[in-house]
Amino acid sequence: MKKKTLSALLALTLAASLTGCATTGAGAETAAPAAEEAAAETESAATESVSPEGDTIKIGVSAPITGGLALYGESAQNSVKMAVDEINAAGGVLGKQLEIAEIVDDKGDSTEAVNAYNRLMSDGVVAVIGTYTSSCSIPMAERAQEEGMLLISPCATNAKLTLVGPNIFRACFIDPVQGPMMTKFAKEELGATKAAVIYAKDDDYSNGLHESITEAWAGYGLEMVYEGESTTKDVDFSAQVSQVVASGADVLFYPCMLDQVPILVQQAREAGFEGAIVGGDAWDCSDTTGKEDYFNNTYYTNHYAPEDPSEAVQAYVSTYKDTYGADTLTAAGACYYDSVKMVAQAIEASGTGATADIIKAMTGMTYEGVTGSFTLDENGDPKKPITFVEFKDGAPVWRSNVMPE
Amino acid sequence: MSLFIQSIINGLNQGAVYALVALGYTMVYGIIRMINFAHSDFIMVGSYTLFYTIPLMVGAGMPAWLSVVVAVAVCVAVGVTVEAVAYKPVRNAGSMSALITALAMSLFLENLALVLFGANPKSVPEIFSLPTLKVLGIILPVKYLVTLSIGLFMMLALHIFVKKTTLGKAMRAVPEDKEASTLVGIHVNKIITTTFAIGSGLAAVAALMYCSTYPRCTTDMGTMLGIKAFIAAVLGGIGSIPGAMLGGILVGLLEILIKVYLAPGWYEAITYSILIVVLLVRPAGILGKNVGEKV
Repeated sequence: MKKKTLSALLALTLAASLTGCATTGAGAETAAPAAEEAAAETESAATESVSPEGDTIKIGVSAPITGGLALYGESAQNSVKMAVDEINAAGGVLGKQLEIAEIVDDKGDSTEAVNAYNRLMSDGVVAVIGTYTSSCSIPMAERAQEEGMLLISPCATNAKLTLVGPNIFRACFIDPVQGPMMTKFAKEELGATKAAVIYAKDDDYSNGLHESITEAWAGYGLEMVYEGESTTKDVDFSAQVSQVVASGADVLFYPCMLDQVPILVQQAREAGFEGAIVGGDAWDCSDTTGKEDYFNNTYYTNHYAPEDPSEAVQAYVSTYKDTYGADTLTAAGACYYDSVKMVAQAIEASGTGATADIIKAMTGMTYEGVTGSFTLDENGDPKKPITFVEFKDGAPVWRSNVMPE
Repeated sequence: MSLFIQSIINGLNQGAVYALVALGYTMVYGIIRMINFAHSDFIMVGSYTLFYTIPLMVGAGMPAWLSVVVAVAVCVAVGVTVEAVAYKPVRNAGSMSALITALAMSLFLENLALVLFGANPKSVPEIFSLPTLKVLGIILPVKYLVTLSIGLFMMLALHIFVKKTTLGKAMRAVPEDKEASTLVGIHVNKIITTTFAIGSGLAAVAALMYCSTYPRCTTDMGTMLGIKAFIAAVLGGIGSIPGAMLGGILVGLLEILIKVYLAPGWYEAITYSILIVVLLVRPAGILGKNVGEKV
């Protein structure tokens, strides 16, 4: 008897927890609907994603809200809300309101990314915007392609992402373009001759950018003197930077994420490296507090520069600053903003709001936004200008926007 | 050649940080035969304390490193509380319960920190504004020397404290036989609390040295650091104070040398394989005493 009561209790708890999972996303729903209702909702999710009914169209968003990239996640959350509010204020899409089902947290971790994707699927979304890192976006893209879902990554620059399939798009430039541009910049603008690179081998983004940098070295007449591995968990780079110094390099490429950038820059400078340090778009908003001197003579590529006088950029920047403050204004946010607008434009063009039609509408679309005006190519990648930024006394200063050849 | 000497210097510095953390593990293990997995999270607590107090110290016109006093106080409070709330109730429930409780405390502290301090990594301000020496192309930041000497000093002080003082003798008596210690008038609970207080205070000092070299704190910073320091403690012989120092320095040196000369991507795998080999040859660690233990 006791056992029966226990198993009944366990079953109840399980049912309750399932309800919990399904409803957290919906948000608007009342706190405790019956377990069957939740199950029915999950079942209908599959059909809903094909042709949305009701007066809203739901899209899902994934971002690294906690973890080392939390700053980008916060910026993404704000920018997505801003974009959706603007779209709805202008009448929504296809006469309906655009709704964000939920902004799920992938923590910048590839396992969490798949969980995040699953959460969004149970919300019945027509398209997914996600996510920041390449390591997280690629597994999500694989699932999306299998299930016929549309996925647009705002910031994943690894070339492999859109090669997953025709349902996958992105709003940013790709590493095979970014890497050579960084190399060209080092050679032509900084006058470098001997180059070293340190990359994180457990990160798709870093690996992709490292490959494209090293492939481009020879072409721009740079001599490669040192290649060093690290991981995304490392805090000690003294072994690598001492070798960079010993190799006599005059430029160091560090294609890694912002949370490690200040430690690497400090250790490189302390080890006596005086040359330029060049990073990729994941350097955006690196914390330079107390390390302003170390950060002089460092450069990075970015998706846009807030100082860019173009109308689209200034409109975005001023609205963002007024609403959320300048602390979380990042290029990642701008890319999420553009991604939402791209999806909205494609939904409008699809005529039906069904995922398959939105994919058709997005293929080869032309878009004008904050991070540039571009047409998506046959892979779903935009061809857009790359922004170069320099740190001067700890503050990022816009240098130039360069259109890749 | 200068790269080799530079690597030794870098390795010694990293090793000294590991050693300071390992001292905390070994201290607690030596007295109450318990592996305090939350120790590395005490370092996280210490680092966040430093992050918040250094600007106040500097603002008040005092040297930044003085905030270690605040950090020690906070860490001791956290350590003693953790012991009283979590470890004391399961003290007689067997070593497995104690181990699981310690792991749970570690996760609890990490998640609590996530709620309190947020997920953004924090950049710790500069602690020592010391010069960097340059000799024949070799770079020697003076703060490396400070780290190493603080490590050695702590080790010696602890060693003398445990071997020579009455309190130290009582500490050594407790793990031998708890009942007998009580019979001869040793207040076992008080001894254990003192041990935790010293261990946690050490964590604050370790946090200071860690932050001076790697000026960043995250809520999960203790995880990898803890594993490496634990390995250092086991390698040197857990329970042995000089062993922790030796183990820490060895792990630090090995990691750097492997990164420079062997396979940079494999440094952890190779370091830990060496650990396995050492433990096969000397199961009690390099300086550990091989005493039979009831499991």
